[in-house]
Amino acid sequence: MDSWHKIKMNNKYIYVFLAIIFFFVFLTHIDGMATGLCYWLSQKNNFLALIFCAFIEDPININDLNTSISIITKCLNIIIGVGGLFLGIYYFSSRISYDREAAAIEKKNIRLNMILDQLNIYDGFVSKILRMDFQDEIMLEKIRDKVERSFELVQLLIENNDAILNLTDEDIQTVTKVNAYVDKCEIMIIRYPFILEQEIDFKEQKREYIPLIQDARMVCLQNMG
Amino acid sequence: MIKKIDVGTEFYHSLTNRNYQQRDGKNTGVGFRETYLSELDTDEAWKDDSGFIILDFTNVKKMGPSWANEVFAYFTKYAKPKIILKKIKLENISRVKKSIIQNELEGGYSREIGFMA
Repeated sequence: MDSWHKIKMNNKYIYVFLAIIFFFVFLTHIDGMATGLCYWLSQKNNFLALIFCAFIEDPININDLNTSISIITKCLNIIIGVGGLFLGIYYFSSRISYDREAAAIEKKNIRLNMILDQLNIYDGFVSKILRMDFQDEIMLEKIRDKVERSFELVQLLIENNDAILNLTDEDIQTVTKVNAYVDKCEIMIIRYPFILEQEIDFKEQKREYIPLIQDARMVCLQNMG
Repeated sequence: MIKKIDVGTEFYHSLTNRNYQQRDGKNTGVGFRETYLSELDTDEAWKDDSGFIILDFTNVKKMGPSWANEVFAYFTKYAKPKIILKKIKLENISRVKKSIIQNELEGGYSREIGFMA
């Protein structure tokens, strides 16, 4: 696949090249084809036979079986040759489009995987707070800071790869909804002394948060090719 | 003539804090609303949906939901999200930042949690 990408060929030059080959193939077989056409048209008393007679180099005996076979063979050769050329053009053109599409899908998947990884990191830090996995205020603030930084990266990845990802507005909203909830909820706001004083747990917040992060992950998975 | 504000330059490039109690308490949503959108804090201002202000986000690097909630969702007590976005037009804003604002408008204004201090 890499070699196809390295070959930077403009399609119109390929068609010119193939047209030249077609012209030479046609020239080498023209006498046989012209002879056949000349005979057929003359049988129908069509004046166009005169045009093709000009291409006949040697006088021939149409009734000679070998000559007939030779004419038919040359006509078939030219038809098969031209057909093969067109098939080749079609294959080459299709292969280029296929490779381009495959490269675009690969690029998109790489970025979606990066976003998914970052969402998992974000989830890890949020879960720490939800599990009350902190010993003091300093640790709590450090985790909160990491929560913010990790989602910043998710936003940056989506913003700077918008053209590659091609996510719908609904998909982007689903992803940003996670942080819309987390940023404004108690887990990011309540001071540590108050948590101890009121013996707060975050069970309700956990119930509301989990579906949101799952939906955000699904956006990444569903958009992968 | 509709006012145009380059938010990133005239206010700040990082818009994350709701009010003075959040994080470093600077460049808050409350501060922005009171500086640039105070005229909209009346019923009279919402009687028609003509444009009031254009916010240019070219130089804004970061926007958080809390700031957006305080600046935009605050006005859901006067009007619906569509009307708010007609009055406060957004320019040069990425789809991600726009979706943050959209989420806040659809979710409504979150009241402050009293025990932040």
